[in-house]
Amino acid sequence: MPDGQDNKTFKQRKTFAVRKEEVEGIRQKFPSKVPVIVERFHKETTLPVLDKTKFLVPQELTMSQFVTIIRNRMSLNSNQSFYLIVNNKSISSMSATIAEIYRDDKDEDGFLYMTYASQEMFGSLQESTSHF
Amino acid sequence: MAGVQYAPFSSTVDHGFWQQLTDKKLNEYGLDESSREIYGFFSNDTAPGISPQLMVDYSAFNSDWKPPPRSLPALGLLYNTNTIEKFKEIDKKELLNAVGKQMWEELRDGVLLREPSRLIRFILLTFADLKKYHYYYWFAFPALKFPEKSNYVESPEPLQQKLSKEQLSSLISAYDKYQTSRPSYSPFFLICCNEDNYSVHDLAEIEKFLTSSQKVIFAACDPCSFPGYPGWPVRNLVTLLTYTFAGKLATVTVLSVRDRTHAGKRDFGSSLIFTVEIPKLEDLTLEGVPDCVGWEKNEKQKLVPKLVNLSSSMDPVKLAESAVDLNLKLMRWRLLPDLDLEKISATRGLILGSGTLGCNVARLLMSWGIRHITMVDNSKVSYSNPVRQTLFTFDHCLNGGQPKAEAAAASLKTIFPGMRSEGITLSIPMPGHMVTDSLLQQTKDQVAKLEELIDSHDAIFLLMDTRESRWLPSLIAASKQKIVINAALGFDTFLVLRHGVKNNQGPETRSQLPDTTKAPISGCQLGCYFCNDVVAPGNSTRDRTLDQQCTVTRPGVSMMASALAVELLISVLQHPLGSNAPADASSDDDPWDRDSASSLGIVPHQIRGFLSRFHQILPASQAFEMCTACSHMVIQRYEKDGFDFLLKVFNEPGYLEDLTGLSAMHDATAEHEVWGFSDDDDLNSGPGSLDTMET
Repeated sequence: MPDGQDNKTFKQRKTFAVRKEEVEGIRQKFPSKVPVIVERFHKETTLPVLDKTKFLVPQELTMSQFVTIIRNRMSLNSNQSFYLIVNNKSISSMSATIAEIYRDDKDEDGFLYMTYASQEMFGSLQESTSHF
Repeated sequence: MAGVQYAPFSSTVDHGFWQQLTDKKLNEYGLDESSREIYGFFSNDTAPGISPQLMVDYSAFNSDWKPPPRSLPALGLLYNTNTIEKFKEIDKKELLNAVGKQMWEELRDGVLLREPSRLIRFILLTFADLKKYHYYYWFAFPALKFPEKSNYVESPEPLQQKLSKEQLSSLISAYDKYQTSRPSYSPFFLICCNEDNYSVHDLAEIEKFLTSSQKVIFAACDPCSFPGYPGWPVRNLVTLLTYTFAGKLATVTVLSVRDRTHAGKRDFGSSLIFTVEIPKLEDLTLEGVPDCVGWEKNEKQKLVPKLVNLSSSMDPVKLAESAVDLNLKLMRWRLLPDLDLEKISATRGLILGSGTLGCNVARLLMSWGIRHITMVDNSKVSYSNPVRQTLFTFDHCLNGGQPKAEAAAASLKTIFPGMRSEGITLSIPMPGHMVTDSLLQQTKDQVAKLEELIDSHDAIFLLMDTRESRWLPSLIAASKQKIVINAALGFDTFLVLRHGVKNNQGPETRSQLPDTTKAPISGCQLGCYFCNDVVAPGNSTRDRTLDQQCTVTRPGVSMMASALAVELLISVLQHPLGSNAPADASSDDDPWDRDSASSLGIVPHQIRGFLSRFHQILPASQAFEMCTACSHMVIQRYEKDGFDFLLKVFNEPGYLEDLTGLSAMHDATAEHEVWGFSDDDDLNSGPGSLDTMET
């Protein structure tokens, strides 16, 4: 299982200096693309692990479009709902562009970090024959 | 010579007395109607204009009773009847005469001279209707008609007109010395004047002074404040004096002692001093027992009983209500003077889903003083429920289990009878759950019922078990602009959020703050539960294994989410802008913004908890213009086409996504524009590395 290389996060796998250098290079080479790290929430069990962690995203892409792409990459069916936490603490509006999110939420190293997790949906311990 | 007229007592009964009587009746007296000794008291500091009062309170039944400080005792006899008929029919004249006879015998035997406080008596006739907490009662203040009539030799005059200042202060200090040296104040006593010096003594010492040349005044503590009229105790003193001195003295001087405080100054000088004639022996009837009078008249001077209705203060249900309210009101004393408890308690809560979240949310709403709670669910209490679902017990599971909504609503009333809780068994129609022709009418009815419920409540809690069951109430509540608090659980995570409550400003536009996504978001622009994803809800229960269908959560997660859901509602209600309260979107560690906070603090949009780290974040996000539940497009179509629109949503997968433009967005999203890389792909190694790009 390609579980993000030994369960370590991207930040844990690479030093700050290496990450910073990488972003500087990317920004120089692809000024209209935003470097985004997308990782699975460490306690997530329902959603699959993405085969890639690093993405270069067109800056004008909206969050809703980005979510659509991540969904497709995970091959989620429409009954599986998930959400992306940005920078460990925000949830972006679906209409916001990646550029706006990058401006406001990028990490010190220059990457934009996102974590995905299943949307909670349970309210009780009922068997699903009941819809509550 | 003018006849003496006395101002009768008027009775005052403290609520505590009725509580004690209720307790005695229920736990001690039962059906025993025997008379009981009780105690009352009066004072002689009655303010001008106030009628002379005789009080009974909670202490009236105490066997070791003492009057309150500076008050004078009254000896009472309680007749509590078992029925209202008995209360009406009992021979009142006889009751009074029985006490009169006793007083007369005590007078004859000299008991009253030794214990003159026994001159102040009362009878209390009661009937307590303990189902309604109605108390019928009638007081009598027995006075012997002996003599038949008294006449003034000198009419009453304020003491200060008769005495010099020095004399008055000498008298006051003698009075104080006498009264304070006793276990409790005495209503009757003697005053001796020796030139300008006064001394106060027990009535029983009268023989000592009669022979001396000293002037003797007989004094009574007088509850009456009317100028020119002595009160009821004076009447009984005159009876005692008449009996004692008939044939020995022609007149007696009486002081009716009024020891009140006016504007911070002691006003003893308003006491009345007067002289009454003692009838000659031959004019008195000493044979037999004199008539006794004294039943209390009402305000209209009619001889009728009184009724006090204490249902509001005696009914345990009402007592519980006032105790609950008091507890909440204490918060306002110091902590939150502006806490709008009235607004909170007037809020009607609709709880959709009566499981772990629903039970806990209902309990907490009740704790906040919210009385009107409607529980909705479609299932029955099962054996696994009670340990986590806090409104259920084992008994609810028996015989196939009680309907959860009804059982939960009934439990709320058991906990606090003041609740106006109702349980409604209802299934909520859901997108992706086909409505066949045979289910059409039933589904229509369910939608209509849900619409009616949301319409008749102020705060809607979405606490159901699937994503799709939250869709219809989200839409209806958005259309009706109700406050929605949504709570959902994962195994060790939770989400609590308030839905944005749209005002009528048409289609949502992006916030006009191009320079940041971190500005506070107005309540009307906040997203709903469905604004975070780009797919319509569908049948999530299909193709799932048991462990996926039947969530297991850490038990505390539900408690945490329930608590936060309720506190979020309270914070919304307390905020001056209500549901339009802005949410902080800065994701700062300390999102305290005085401008957007109420006295309770900030009003977040979402609270997401992660129990594995005991961590919580407060994200805020705007409504999504393609949201499948709260976007303008969806609300408009629902409001226009009603059930026909809903039916399409239930039956046609993809309809919502087509309508909102999500399908088009999905199709137009060019995936190849996003390049994905593995960790070790070096994006800086030159254009060659692009070979590894995914498309």
